[in-house]
Amino acid sequence: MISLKKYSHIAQFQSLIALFFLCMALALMTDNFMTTDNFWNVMRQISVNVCISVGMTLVILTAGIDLSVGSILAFCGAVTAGLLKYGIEIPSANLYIGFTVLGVVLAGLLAGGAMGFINGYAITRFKVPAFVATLAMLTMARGFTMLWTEGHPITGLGDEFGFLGTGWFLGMPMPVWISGIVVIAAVILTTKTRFGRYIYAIGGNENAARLSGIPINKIKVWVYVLAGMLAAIGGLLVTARLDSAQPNAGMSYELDAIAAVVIGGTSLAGGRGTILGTVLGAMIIGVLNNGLVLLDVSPFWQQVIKGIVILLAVIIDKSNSKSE
Amino acid sequence: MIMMKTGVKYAVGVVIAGIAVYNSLYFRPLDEKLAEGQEIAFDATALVEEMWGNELLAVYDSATDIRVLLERLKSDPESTFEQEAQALGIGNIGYFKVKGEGKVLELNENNVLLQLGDQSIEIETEFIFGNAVRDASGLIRINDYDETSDFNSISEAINDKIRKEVIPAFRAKVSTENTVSFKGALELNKAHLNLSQIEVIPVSLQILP
Repeated sequence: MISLKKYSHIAQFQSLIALFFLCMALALMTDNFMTTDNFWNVMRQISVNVCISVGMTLVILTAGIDLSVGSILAFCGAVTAGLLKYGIEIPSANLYIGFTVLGVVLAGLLAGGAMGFINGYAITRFKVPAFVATLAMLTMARGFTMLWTEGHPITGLGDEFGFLGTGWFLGMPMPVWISGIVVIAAVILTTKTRFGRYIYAIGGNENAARLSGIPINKIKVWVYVLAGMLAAIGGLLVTARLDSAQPNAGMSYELDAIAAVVIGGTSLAGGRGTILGTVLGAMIIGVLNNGLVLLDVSPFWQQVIKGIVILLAVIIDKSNSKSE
Repeated sequence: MIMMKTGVKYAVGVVIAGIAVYNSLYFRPLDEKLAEGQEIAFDATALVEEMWGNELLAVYDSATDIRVLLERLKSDPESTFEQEAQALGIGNIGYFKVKGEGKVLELNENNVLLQLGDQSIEIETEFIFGNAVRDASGLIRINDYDETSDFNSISEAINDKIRKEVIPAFRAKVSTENTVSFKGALELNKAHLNLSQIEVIPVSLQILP
């Protein structure tokens, strides 16, 4: 019988070993992998996935799933860019409302949170399966993004906003700082708060959690709100880094997030997993993506290889579960 | 006591929200804002007219001889791309400034085929599209433009000028056996390098006596 804590440690240890061997193999096979520039490049690239994956971990821990994070990312990026660049015009009052960088960041978070709330409300109030509710939001958010941007990228957002995606602070890129803060906050949330314990309880056994008096619906709604807000942070980072909000940003990001969560040892059945495991999962995916590019592997083969890695991770997860 | 604690909590929340909103928004009269926007409306055609002679064509004066470039591409494509190509971002597409002289082999509907030594190249005269001339010049950078559409409209204006001014005068006079001097832009894909079919978008064409 393996305890929950021990299970998490085994899963994290496996991820760490996998990451170590992956890095060693790439260091031997390529000239550029073990360089400082490439290290920060990989860290910057995984920052977005880390933010989304942390949200996805919270959702999966409650035995849910959120397929809409990629589209929410795109929508929030577009809202942010649109408000920063064009503001809001009210011709009847001859009024122009402009937004500062703080303003658009808050607006983006609000938009992500609102979309997450709709997901959570549909799932808890109308008992729509999470897969279906978030699939619907995936389509809706993408549609809203196209409507908002009229299908065109919004570019030229200024240096102040761009600093969030391309700037450096105390020797570290800003996206790494931001995703690091997200990770620390999520670790504290899941391990040191009542809210975190409720999340594990709901995913472990929802009926038992209900009978224990845990406000399941409220917790679930908040989890989806958080997932939406974290997707929004991902959207801010992507938009700031590219100095452009692309209407097709974030396509398939939900799959990378789910992959990071699964590789990191979180059980898709809920109730088991850690944020740090997910961070390791995101690092494995990021290093794998980077390594395949450095090795000049065709993008088509990259998809195949990533799929195999995810499949292996699920098989290992299953074998770990059986030994419980 | 509990009531007081809750009250303080809400008060702090309201103050934080107030500070956040105060630092998030600013207000201006809409007509003032719109007038400002009109003043800075972008005119790609005017920009191209302004930079065509003194800047754009001047840059193409320092273009690499196309025969030298092709030889270098055959022997060492990697470093030739690194040293000679302009690229908009990461990727395999590179844009080169080229010049040369060749004898007219064929006058085709869409291009003029020139013979340069043992190499034949096509001077495009019908389908003048894309960003090759703008990007090969290295003069015009995307980061200098707030709108992607402005940046793209520069290419449209350049291509339009080539279509209206460079090509017609040349096509009206050129005939087979003429020797032609050209300057222009060449787009190549490093990953799928095809040096057997070279298509140059011209910025300058002269029939030599």
